[in-house]
Amino acid sequence: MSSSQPSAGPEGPDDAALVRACLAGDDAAWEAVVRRYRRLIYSIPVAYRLPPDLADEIFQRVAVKLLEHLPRLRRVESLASWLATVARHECQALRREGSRFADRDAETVLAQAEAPPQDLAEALGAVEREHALALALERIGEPCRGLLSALYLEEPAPSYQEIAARLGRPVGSLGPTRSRCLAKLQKLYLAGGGPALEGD
Amino acid sequence: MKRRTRAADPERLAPHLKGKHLVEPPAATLHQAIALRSLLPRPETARRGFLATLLFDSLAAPLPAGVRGSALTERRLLYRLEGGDGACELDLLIRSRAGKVELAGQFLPPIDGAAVAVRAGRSVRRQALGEAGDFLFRALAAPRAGLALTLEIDGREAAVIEGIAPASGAP
Repeated sequence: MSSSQPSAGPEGPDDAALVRACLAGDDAAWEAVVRRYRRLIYSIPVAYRLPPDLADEIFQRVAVKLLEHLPRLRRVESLASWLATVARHECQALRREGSRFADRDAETVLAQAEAPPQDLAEALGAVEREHALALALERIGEPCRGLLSALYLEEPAPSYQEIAARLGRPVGSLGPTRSRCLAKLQKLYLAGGGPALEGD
Repeated sequence: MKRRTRAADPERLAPHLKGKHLVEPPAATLHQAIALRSLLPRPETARRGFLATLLFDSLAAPLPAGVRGSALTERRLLYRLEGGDGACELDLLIRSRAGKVELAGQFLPPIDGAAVAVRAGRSVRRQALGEAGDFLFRALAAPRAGLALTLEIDGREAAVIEGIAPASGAP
């Protein structure tokens, strides 16, 4: 008796395959979904500036909603958008639950939870954008992932000579490769439903 | 004339790669959400992979000459388990000892990677099957509703047999 395995590409199964596998009772698929979207979900209550214990609670609430709605998510176009929407709704619901804060001694917690930060929309947009980009980077494959990670994620940033040595390419090829990789990243970002960037 | 939209410059993605707004949840929070997997819907075929049919019950068999029914402390049950992935037999022996119950059994042919869980009231005990497909639970409570035995294959519930009672408490 084996569990159904989601169809997996080199970058892992897509969302639809994972949802189908979850519905077939596949524990590993559930873990993969939770891990894939962990930062997106958790960053939303953080953008609302909720304290860590409430951010944890939002995370669990979203996970439970995901579990409950799995059958309806079979045909969902973007799991990321759905999860972000649920997380935002849960943050707003928590803010409305005034009684939850009644016994909290820190008045600032209540103040922060009731009054969303002025730059909330901007922060939420950034969370969704950056998460879509992170997923695109996971899917891009090598050598682009290694090159873009080295150029934009590593701290301290390695020198061009070091990157060229790692990738086994001449230094002079890094510039054109970087441009091609960014174009490929953009395609994956848009194909994955990444939100528009400023000025689009 | 149809206007063509110029593709945005991919260079604009670069500053967002850092992911400054993305925050990792604490490990405990993540694990708590992952643990919800135990609530995933389990299709009927996965949950009850085998159908158990009782082939023999020593309580229903005629007693040998000279044996008094009230003296019985053992009960033997033989089940056939059939499912889409094959079939096997389960031989169970239930003994009453000092108010407790001992449950021994064997799956034939043995099932690789399988385990059994026995529920006695609110208590559940679990045991991996031996190489010969055997298991033994000692000193179990004897609830009125009997014991429930669950066969687990690859961590999934494959068959459940309920109402297993010793001779003295047989329904």
